Amino acid sequence: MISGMVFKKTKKIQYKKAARILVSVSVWLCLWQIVYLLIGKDVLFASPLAVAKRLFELLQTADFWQKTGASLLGITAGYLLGIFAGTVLAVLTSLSDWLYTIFRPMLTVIKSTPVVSFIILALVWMQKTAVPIFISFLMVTPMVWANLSGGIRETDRNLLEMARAYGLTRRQIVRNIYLPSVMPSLLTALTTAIGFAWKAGIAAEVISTPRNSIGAQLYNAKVYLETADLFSWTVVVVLLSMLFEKLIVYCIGKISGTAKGGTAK
Amino acid sequence: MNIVLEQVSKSFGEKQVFSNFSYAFQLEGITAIMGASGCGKTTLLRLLCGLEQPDSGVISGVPKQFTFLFQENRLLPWATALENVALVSNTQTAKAVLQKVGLAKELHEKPAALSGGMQRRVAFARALAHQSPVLFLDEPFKGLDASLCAEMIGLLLQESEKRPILFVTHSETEANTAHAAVLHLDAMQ
Repeated sequence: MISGMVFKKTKKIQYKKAARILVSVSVWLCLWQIVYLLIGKDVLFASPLAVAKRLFELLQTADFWQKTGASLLGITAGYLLGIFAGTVLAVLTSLSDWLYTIFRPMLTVIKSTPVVSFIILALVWMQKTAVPIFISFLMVTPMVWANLSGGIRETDRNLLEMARAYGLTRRQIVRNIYLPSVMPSLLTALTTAIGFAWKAGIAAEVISTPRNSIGAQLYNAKVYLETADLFSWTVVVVLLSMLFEKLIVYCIGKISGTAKGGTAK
Repeated sequence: MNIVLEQVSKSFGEKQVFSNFSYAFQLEGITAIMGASGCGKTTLLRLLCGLEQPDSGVISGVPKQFTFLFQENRLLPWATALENVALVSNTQTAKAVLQKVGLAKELHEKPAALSGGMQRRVAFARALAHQSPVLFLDEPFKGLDASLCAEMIGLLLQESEKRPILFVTHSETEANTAHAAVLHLDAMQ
C-alpha cells in the first residue's frame, strides 16, 4: 500500500519534471521561430523546422554516422587523455611543492592562452586528424589538474593524522579519505571539462578540417552558406556533449558510490 | 612500557608549553593526566606517541604502534559508524565493539545522523577496536552524560587488562572511577 503510494508520488514528480522540460523546450523553439520570422532570410538564420528536416535527412546517411563517430572518438580520446594527465599531474604536484611550483606556470599559461593559437601551432606540428585530440587534451588537462590538486590539498588534515595514528595503509588512505574528499571537485572538473573539450575540439576540427569530422562539415556549411546544415551539425554537437556529460556523471556516481559506500582495506 | 622524556622543550609560536621537561612514564593499567586548561596535556600525549616532535630534548621508548583517540572525533563523514570502526579493525570486531558502546542500532548511520555523544562513542569504539600495545585517549568522555561515562569507564577498565591506557581528563571523578594513577601536569613541570 505504502510502496504503491510512493510509486504514484514518484510518477507524479516525473510527470511534472517532464512537463517542465517540455514547456522549456517549447518556449525556446517558439523564440527561435520568432527570430527566424523577424530575420526572414534562410541564408542568415534557419528555421527550427528546416533544421529538424535537415537533421532527419542527415541521420539517414552513413556519412553522418561516420563523421560523428570520428569526432566523438577524437574528442573522447583527448578528454580521457586530459583526465589521465591532469590526475597524474595533480598527484605529483600534491606530493612535491617543487613540482607544484614548476608545473603551475605552464598550466596557467595553457589556461589563459587563446585556444586558436594552440590550434594553429598544432597544425604545424602534427597531422590534421590529431589536432582535435591534442586540443581537447590541452583544454581538459589544466582543468582537471587545478580542481583535483585543490581537492587533494584541501583534504582534512585531521583525518589524515587520524589515518597515520591508526596505521592505515597508503591504499586505505587514498580509497577512504582522499577519494571521497576530492570527488566533489573532481566531478565539477570533469563535467565542466566536457563542454570545453567539445567546444575546443570542434573549433580545432573547423580550422584543421580533417575529412571525417563534424568540424569540417561546419566549415563546409559556412563556405556554401548552408545555414540549415550549420545549425543541424551544431545541434548534433550540443546533443553529443550533453549525452557525454550525462554518461560521465553516471560513471562518477557509480565510482563515488563504491568509494563512499564501504571502507576498504 | 616506559617512555622517557629528557629535557624536552616544546612551543607553538610564542607560547612555550614545555621547557626542559623531564619525566619517566611507566605505563601500566590506567594512568590519567590532569591539569589546568592549556597546561600541555594534549601536547604531552602527542609527544609520547610521536604525533608531535619536541623542539629540543630526547624522548625514548615511543611506541611504534599505538592507538590514539583524539579530542575531536575525526570520523569519516561519508562512512557509517560500522565502516568507521571497521576501517581500523574488521567488520566482526567493529560490530561487537559498537554493540558494547550501545550503538547496535546505529551501525549503518553516518556521523551526521548521530548525536554528539553517539559520535564520541563511535570514536571511542574505534579506539577500542584498534589492536595495538598501548592506548592514548584525549578527553575520551567529552560530551557524554554521567551514566554513559560510567559505562565507558567500565569498558576502559576491561581494556586495561589487555594493554596500558593513558588518558587526559579534567574530571577527578572520571580518574577515580577508572582507578587511574593520576599525574598532575601542573605539579610535574
